[in-house]
Amino acid sequence: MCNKKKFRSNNKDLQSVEKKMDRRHFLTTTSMGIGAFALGSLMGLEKVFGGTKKTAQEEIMQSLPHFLPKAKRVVYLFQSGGPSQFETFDYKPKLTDMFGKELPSSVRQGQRLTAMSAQQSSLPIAPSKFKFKQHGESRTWVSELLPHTAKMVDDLCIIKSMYTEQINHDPAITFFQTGHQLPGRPSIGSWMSYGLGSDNKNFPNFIVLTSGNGGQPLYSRLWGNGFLPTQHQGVQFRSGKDPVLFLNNPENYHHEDRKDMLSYLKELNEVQNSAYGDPEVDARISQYEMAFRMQTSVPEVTDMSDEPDEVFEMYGKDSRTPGTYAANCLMARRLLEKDVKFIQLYHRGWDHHAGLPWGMKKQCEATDQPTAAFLKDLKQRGLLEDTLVIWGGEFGRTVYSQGKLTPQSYGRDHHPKCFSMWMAGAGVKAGMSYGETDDFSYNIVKDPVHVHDFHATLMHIMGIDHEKLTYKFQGRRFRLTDVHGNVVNDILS
Amino acid sequence: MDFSNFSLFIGRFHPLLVHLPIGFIFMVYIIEIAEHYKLIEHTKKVVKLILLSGGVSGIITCVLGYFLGSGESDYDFESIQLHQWLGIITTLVVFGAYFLKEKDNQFYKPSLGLLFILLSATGHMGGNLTHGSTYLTQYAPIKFNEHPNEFERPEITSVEEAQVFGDLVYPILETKCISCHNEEKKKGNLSLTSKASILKGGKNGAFVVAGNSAKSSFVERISLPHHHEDIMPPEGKKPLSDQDIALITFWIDQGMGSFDTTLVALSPDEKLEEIVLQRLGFKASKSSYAFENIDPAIITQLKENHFEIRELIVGSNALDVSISKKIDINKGIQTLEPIKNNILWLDLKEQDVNGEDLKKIGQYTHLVKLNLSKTSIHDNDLMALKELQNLEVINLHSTNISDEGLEILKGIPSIKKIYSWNTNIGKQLAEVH
Repeated sequence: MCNKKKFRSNNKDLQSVEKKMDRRHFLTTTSMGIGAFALGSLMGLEKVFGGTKKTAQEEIMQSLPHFLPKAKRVVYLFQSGGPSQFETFDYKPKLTDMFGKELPSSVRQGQRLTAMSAQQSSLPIAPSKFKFKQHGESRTWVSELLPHTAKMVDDLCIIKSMYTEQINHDPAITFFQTGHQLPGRPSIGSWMSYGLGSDNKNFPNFIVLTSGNGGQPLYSRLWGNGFLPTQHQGVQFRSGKDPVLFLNNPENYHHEDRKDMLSYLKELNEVQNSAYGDPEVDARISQYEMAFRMQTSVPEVTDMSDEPDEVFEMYGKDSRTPGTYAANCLMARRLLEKDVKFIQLYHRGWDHHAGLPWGMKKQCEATDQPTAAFLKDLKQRGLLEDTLVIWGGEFGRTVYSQGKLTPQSYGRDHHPKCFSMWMAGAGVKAGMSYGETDDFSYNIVKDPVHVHDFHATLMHIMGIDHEKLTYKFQGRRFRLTDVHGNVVNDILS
Repeated sequence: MDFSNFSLFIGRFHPLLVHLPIGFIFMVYIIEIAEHYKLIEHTKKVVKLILLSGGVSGIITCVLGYFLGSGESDYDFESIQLHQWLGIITTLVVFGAYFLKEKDNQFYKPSLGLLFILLSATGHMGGNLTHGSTYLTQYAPIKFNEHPNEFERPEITSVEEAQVFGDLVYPILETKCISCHNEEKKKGNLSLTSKASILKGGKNGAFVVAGNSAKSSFVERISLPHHHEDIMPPEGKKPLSDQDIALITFWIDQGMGSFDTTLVALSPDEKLEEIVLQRLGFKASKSSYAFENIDPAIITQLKENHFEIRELIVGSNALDVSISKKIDINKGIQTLEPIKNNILWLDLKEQDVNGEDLKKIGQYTHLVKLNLSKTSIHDNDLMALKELQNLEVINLHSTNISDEGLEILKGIPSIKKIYSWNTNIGKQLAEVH
């Protein structure tokens, strides 16, 4: 607390307020201060006897990365709402002959259903209305709804045996993003940012892009930092004039003035910090500095006018419309080229309780081509060499129809016990399918992969031992995988 | 109230109370010396009072010591006998000194000398009983080879020489167990200082059951929950780490509790192998990534000049280097010279790299991945990279490289992938292997 600069107002009213503040300051710092002093002297002694003793957290941070990282960056294409595995990657030909038949109770095994279909008098089996074909050298079955993804299938590692414990959107997506079904934990991207730091100080480590409308809402806690320092939360880029809100200077406000203002503000914050030592003050200082750097870096990356026409054609015509999934995919590639560590796209609208064939068709049309183009683009630019791409939702969907089953249309309810997702790029085997479900895609019969296992594997690919990256908060050490998670070694390249 | 163990209860105050007579006696020395140098005078009454106090507290200490010694069966019988008699003699000599002082006898000062020797001997023996005989000299600058240790191992120079017990398990025993389980102080009648005594075990028997850690009381006791009554080391001392327990379990299960099995004869799993290598000080020998140390100041300076540098595995000195904005790369490459043998991944995309720079990069012996995309390099510049023995991936997209450059790169035996989209080669991705 030495060498503290005092900022004093020359306004009389303010001076009287400052005096009161001092009295309060005295009271608060002395009541806590005695304890703090005792603690401080203890820590001082520790320094005398123990040399430079590191805190436990510092030791954790300095042990990273634990392994040779396979990937430097992650792009997570989150399909919010729960895309059906039946109409995408989990081909179930035997269901065709069982159209409309009752789901055998031996398959369901008394599993509790959601309130949305628990009241149904029957649970008729609904085979996929769409055809499947084998693609690529890996001869992987892919639905006709995903013709572009099908062409990239030899680059994918499809996991058909994902499962979760959550059956409704909010807890399921929160679970997927933070490792816990209740809000408050840091998201995957925040852990990565915290653990691995930045490769480009002009951008946040964790950037979020959202698209799609209707369906389940998204909320900023999905990319929240939880108890980790605030600068590790995801920064959302929007479409339109201000990609990052409140980033631009007010009109007629000069860049240099901004710089001066921020440097004074930093001094003020440091005064506050030296008095209280609140890490959130550090976080705020670093965020202001980041925002200042982003004033130049963000317009550069969001201005897509330097992309040639053939790129827009590859990503599809939507890619010219800001805020679409296609435009976000293209933006993600541009951010990757700037070495942003963790980019997460969220695309809404996969929650097809009714009218699923129509809904799936619409969503696949909006996402299939951009997704495939994104992969292809990354591959040709060599970015797939050190980038991991992930595609998937928060859970799967039921084999039985929710609501009326007709040859033209049906719906599917939430199904946590199995669903498909894929990874591609650095660290995972290409052209691989992992795990199997039963003939009804209701239960997993081989190689189940839990959400915690997925997190553990993802961290492993980034060079982190998921058991070792912990953060102590409220007396407990937290991990992304809590006390669970096994790395799925079989899919690692 | 239960008084059945009362004598043992008060007996355990012996190590506390013993310091009282010691303190009194030392006070006598201080006063006598002070008087000798004429700093104080007329001390006879005071000295007598202190000596009397020392004698009386000595008697109490002896009684408590007797309770402790007869109540606890963990101590070596001979050592404790000797300690007991020395303690009694010391107390008697204190009284002797009291009477000599009273009479102003000429033997008073020699008696103080005798007392000093007795006190030191008794105290040292007591300390050995409590802490074990190696406690005092363990960290002494000079090694006292009073007790030749049959587990003593020469420094090993390779993993092949490592013995599971001698190099991995014994060090744990030495730091965490032996202070209470040795020949002088056999807590639970267990001594861990020789092969025979380890095999014999303690009063609970079956200390080590070869091949069956679950039945070995050794593993059972160390892996109890931390607040369990029977956990070893006992509550208040630091429990063994998970790594320690894993190693001991491994020694019993796979090493069959044998004392001379070598590590290479067994097959530790990946995690254990890592622990083992770390403990033996061969941390990075498994992966080949262990490079010469770097001056942290160099890294700091490079980071200030827009280089992004991170270590690929902690402690390996293997670096991943990229640049966050366009810089004067010719100068930049020069600043990388001091760490050129540490760079594994190098990303120079969009920088104005020229042939001279590539000649320097051609000497980065450990380079594995090189990104030269969106640069203006030419085919013949790539000749400079021919000597790179470890280069596996090179990214040349959006450059003017043609088939000629591709041929040069194909000549590098280690190369696996060449990214050549948007170049004059015309192929999108040339996979060589």
